[in-house]
Amino acid sequence: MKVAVLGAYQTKFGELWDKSLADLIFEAGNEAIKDSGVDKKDIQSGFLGNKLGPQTTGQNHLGALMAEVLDIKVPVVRVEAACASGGVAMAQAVQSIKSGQYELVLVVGAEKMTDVGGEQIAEALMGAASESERQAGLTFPGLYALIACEYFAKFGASQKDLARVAIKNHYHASLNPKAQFPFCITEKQAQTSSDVAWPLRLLDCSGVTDGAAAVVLASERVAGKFKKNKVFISASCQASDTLSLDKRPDITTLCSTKTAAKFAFSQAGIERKDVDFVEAHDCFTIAEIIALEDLGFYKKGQGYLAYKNNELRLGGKLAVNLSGGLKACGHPVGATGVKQIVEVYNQLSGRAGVRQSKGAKVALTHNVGGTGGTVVVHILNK
Amino acid sequence: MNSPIKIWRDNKTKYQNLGKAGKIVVATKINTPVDGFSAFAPYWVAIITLDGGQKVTAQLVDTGKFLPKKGDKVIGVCRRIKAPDKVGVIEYGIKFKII
Repeated sequence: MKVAVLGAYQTKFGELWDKSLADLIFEAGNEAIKDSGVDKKDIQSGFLGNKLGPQTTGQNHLGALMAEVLDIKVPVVRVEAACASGGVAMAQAVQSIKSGQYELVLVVGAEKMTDVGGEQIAEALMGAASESERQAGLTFPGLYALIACEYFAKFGASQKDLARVAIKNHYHASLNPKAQFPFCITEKQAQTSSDVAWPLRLLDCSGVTDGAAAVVLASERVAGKFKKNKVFISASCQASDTLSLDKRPDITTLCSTKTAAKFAFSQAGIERKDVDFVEAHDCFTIAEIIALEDLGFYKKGQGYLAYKNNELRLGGKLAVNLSGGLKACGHPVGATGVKQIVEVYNQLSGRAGVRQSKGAKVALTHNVGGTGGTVVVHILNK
Repeated sequence: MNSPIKIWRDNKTKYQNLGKAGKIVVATKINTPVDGFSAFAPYWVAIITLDGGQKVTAQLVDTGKFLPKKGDKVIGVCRRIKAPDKVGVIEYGIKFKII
């Protein structure tokens, strides 16, 4: 059974001090429903991707919060899987339609991160890591810095290669009015920004972001009633790995990405060369390089070389993170996996404006929780 | 959350690497710490392979101006983990020192 995306919406990402978590859910959910053309009373179920709500807003019972603010008295479930909360919410929603339980479902990803200070948000995010990593004083930049150090040692990449990822994604974000950081950066700015965790600098890291995204999903039967252009989800796959980085044989590979990608390409019945663009999980610049390798687009240890000839930019062989990615569009952690689907929907519907990928028919999204303890891969086509 | 009960429970296992030697696999320097670790910043954290083959993740202490690197020998020592939170219990555990 096919699952269709009927409508999609993303709020502005950024430091939205005048918006609460409820405000973000309200805006994204209602605008996605409006975009889909469905009647709100026909929505049968809701899924909310959210990681930090209880820690940053003091609010638990978020499924009921979503039901209240959107006035949908249907079963709503909050899904938490670290930064893959949105992706797993998507996967659960797709599964609920494929199983035949529902035919019209609303998925919202929302996060409110700027109500607490920097050290507090870093500590809250570390809830997605293992206890031994927390006891060591690690941060998420620190964890990915360890990955980067090992990658540099094995394959000869450098900070200059990481900067190229940030420069590309900021360029794409400069074309996206919804992005948190909609401006270009130079190599000098990237390489002289402050040290966060060696070798990662400030401009290698995604920001602290408020924001929400939402999509309306429908069964093929229900989608057939609507005359608008549709985007179909041809694969929805989730994989897991160890919570701790030190329990893995090789930290330069996220095995969960490899597994989810393998099943996704099999489910969709396509090959890597059929994919026109990718929304990859670039919480840190090194994460995008490793993702492109583990997804199978480049051989291990060669991903960083692809940035030298601009093939990953808009108009290139494989455009990556046309939204600006987590790095520059922003990373409201529980919303990211849904925002990736929104970007793909906008691109495949031909409404992505100046960052439109011309002629694109197939796209892949890649959403990571923690350092790869959870990974979700979706493949969509029009 | 540093509840006294949890700290008491963890005491049964948390000192098992005291005095154990190993080698650094990979290390990074944390300049922007999490809550409770500000007093140590900047500080180094490493993945270490202990002599028995087990891998652990731990903070490095007493590094001074030394730049820890892959292959450096380390030994487990007892140190305060972080600043006490609102509960006020001072938590100790194992960190690693370069030898």
